[in-house]
Order: sequence, then C-alpha cells, then structure tokens
Amino acid sequence: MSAIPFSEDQIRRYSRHIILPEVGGKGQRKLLSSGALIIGAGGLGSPAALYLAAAGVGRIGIVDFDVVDLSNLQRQILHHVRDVGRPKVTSAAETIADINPDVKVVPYQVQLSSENVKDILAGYDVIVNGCDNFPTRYLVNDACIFLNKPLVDGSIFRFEGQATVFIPGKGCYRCLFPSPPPPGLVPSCQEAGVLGVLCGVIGSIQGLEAVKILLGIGESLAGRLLFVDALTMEFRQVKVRRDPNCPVCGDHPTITDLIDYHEFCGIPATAHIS
Amino acid sequence: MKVKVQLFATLSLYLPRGVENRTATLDLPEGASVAEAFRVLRLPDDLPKLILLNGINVKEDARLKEGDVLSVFPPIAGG
Repeated sequence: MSAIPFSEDQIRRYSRHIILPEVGGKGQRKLLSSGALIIGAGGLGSPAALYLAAAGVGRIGIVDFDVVDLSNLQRQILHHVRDVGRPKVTSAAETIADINPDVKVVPYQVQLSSENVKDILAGYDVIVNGCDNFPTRYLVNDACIFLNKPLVDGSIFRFEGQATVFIPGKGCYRCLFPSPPPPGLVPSCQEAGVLGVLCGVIGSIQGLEAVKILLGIGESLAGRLLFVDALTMEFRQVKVRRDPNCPVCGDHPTITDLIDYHEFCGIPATAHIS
Repeated sequence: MKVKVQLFATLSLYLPRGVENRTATLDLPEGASVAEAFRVLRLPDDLPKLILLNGINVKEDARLKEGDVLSVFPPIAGG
C-alpha cells in the first residue's frame, strides 16, 4: 500500500499513538482513512466525537436535528455558550475543527427515519449510537444489521449507564430487548434527569470501543453488556449472545424492513408500591 | 422462601419504598417462578427486561429457590 507520508505536524500530533506497537504508523493511517458516524451530538455523542476527532479518525459524520439549548451545556461538552440556539451539528463541526483539522466532519441536520438512515449509515466503518430515544435506537440497530455495520451502543438514565458493541451476526439490540417498551412506560431523560459527568464515562467508553474496532485491536464489548452505576461506582458485565429467535438477526427474521416507531415519552404508568 | 430482587435504572421505580441498595427481599412460595416474583413487584409484563438469576441469564419461567438473587435490567434510551 502506497501510504501518503505523515506531515511533521501529524507525526508530532499522533506520536503517542504511533509509539504504541498496537497502533503504530499503520494503525494511525487506518484511523485517518476511517469514517465513524455519531448519532446524536448530545451527552454521549460529545465525548465520543471529541475523542474520535482527537484520535484522528479522518471522517466523522454527526447526526442531530436539534439546536443547542442552555440546559444541554451541563453535559454536552461539544457545545459552548456562544452556540446556544445554533444547530448542534454546526457547533460540533466547529469544536472538532478547533481540535484537529485533519478531521472532515460531515454534518447531518436531520431526524433519522426509515427513509434516510441507510443512505447516511452506508458510508461509515463504525456507528456510534448516542441518541436519546427508543425509536432511533431500534431504527439504527435494524439498519446496522441490514447494512452489516458494527454498532457501538450506549445509553444513560439518571445515575446509570449501559454500553455494548453489536457485531452483525453476533447479536443485536433486539436479541436483548426484542421490541421497544410501550409508550408512557419509560420516562425520558428530560423528565428523569441525568448526572452530566456520567455521559463522559459512557460516551468515552463508546469512543474507545469505536477506535478499537477501527484499529482491529483488543476485545470489544461484543457479547457483553456493561452497566455502570455512578452512585456506587459499580461496573457490572452481563454476558449476552445472539438470540436465534431474534426478530431481526435470528435464524428466521420477522423484521426485514425498517420500522419508524413513534416517538414516545412519559412517566411510568404504574405508581410506586407503598 | 426468601429471594432477593435487584432492579436497575427505570425498574427501580417498582421497588417497594424504603429498600436499600435497590434490592427487595421477597417471601415467595417454594418453587415460585421469576414471573411470579415480577407479579409481586407489579413489574409490567410488556416492559422488556434482561434477567439474571445468580448472574446467569434466564427467562421468566425459571424457578427460584431460597437465597436466589435476581438482577433485572431494562433498556434505557437516554443519550
């Protein structure tokens, strides 16, 4: 392979990667020629995007239809005070440009749907899901199965977070949770709150897993679901496996097309037991 | 027989009041199933759950015995 030589700046910038035998110049080149898609420029997408950009992942797509709100700044570290009211993808692109001009940011200021998800995902080597709702989680999971893309999943709720990796053929989100919870049963983050720093833990784990996948090193979280409890600082791992009866990646799939679930949020329908 | 049930994330809303360490201790008839434990806690049937019995993945029809620890995780969506 006739590789484009690193510039002097690049050698200096990536020196701490290049001296790692597991990365080296070859691995760094791999990162520079890779593409990662980050879904959601929010709590999880922020640290993931920042670290992937700093690592020199050459092309970073960012999907987010929203604009920056002051209440985002408690955890969404891609954005700054001056960005309030501006599209998150614009703010993200500027922040990344300030960190690493090697990175080409591709902004998608759209709501993902069955209409556009395949086209957007198609051009990337790894998908990092930091979205904030179930419909998008299921949509992205199914699209990754159909397109054979590795998916780094992360989610947070109050003081707890989850992270895992799905490699097509080795299980997916629906193997764990076959269908979304019914509307109204699960509170959204907006209603439930979230400890901002926790986003840094889970989003950074997602960034780490994405880099490992791009480099082809180590053992990913595939086959394991990691649970983090920030209040007790307990990390639990649950072994997970492909379900042969999975509706989308099982032996006889019943879901063969993308589904647009309706957005839902609300408070639990059942009250406390007193 | 007594079994412990740990409920995580959104499911902790279904813990009886006053329990510590997100763990409810239930007194169930001998040989009760996971589903019966869930009914006592009024966990909704239609809420997806990942269930571990003493750390091993099981389904709701698994039978419980004295001293068992159930850990139940829901999907969460925040980002």
